[in-house]
Amino acid sequence: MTLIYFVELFELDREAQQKKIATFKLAAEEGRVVEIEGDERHPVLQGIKFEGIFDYKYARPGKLYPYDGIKFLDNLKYHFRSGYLLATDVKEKTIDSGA
Amino acid sequence: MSEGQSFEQNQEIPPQPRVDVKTILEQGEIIHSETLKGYECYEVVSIKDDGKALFREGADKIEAVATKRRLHRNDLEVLAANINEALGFNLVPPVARRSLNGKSGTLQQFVDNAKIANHFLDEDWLSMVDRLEFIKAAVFDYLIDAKDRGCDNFLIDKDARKIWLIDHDYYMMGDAFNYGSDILRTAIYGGLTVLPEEIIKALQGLLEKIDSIIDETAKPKIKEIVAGIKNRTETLIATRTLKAQ
Repeated sequence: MTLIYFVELFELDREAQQKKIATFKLAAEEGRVVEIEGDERHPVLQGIKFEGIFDYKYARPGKLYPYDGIKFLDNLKYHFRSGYLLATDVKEKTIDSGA
Repeated sequence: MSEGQSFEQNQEIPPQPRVDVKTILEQGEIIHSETLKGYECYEVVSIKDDGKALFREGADKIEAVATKRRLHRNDLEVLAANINEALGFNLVPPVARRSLNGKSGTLQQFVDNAKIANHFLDEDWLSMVDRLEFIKAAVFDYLIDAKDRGCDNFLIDKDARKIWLIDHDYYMMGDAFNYGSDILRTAIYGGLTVLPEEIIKALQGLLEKIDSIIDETAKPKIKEIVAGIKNRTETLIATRTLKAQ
């Protein structure tokens, strides 16, 4: 069994309906790079990968990227806080390692 | 009336009263609300006959951080909207204080024909908006000393060539974060710093009203922010030139 940390990112469409545009995942015991599940051509996801996000939680200088692991994951909810783009808190789930 | 014309065709439609969005947000009948998925507490509400709005509860999780520093999002969102209104810029979607399901917060008009600016990172977003609109946005961000105006905190309406500024919260207007404003930087680097007369007049209008934007009961940090806005307004009027933060 593998413990996974994940954050979901939602966007509001013109009818103010939420649509999920990505899930950011980090396996607790393997590697330290956050994987992004979603349309890699989506401009918001492209922006995150190449522009990074800020460390809102501790106001440290510089930016965070998927390779920053849990720090990146933990700051997504502060970066995407507008309602138009909204991220969840870091959540956990356990998956079958063989899956 | 000539033959063949119907009675209705000759009736003039009386001018319609201008819609006061803020009054609708304050008093409009909410017929439906739905909680959004996400860390920040939002609800999308439908107002009878008048579209949708975003409700943000005052006491949310990020607020817990801001509360320690005596800055509340409700107060900041309303302040930003009031500054925008005093300027006559129409850059901030209208906001009103409102309670919903027993929770106090703010209700902001939902902008349905615009997208978050980072949708246009691969394009020249500056060419998508009206030049004066862009300068107004840069001026606004200078005035409020915007600290988190990245491409995730403003919307672009390509059809109307319009900008909408959002997320006037602790990170945007407090003192724990200092990224600045992408809009203001773009204006400075692009040499769009000389302020047209229309904007000078707007700034003078703001200066006349700014002392009445908040009352004596406002929290000290809010008064401090308004004092800073006033100083920067005076600077812009005197120099007629936009400058870096």
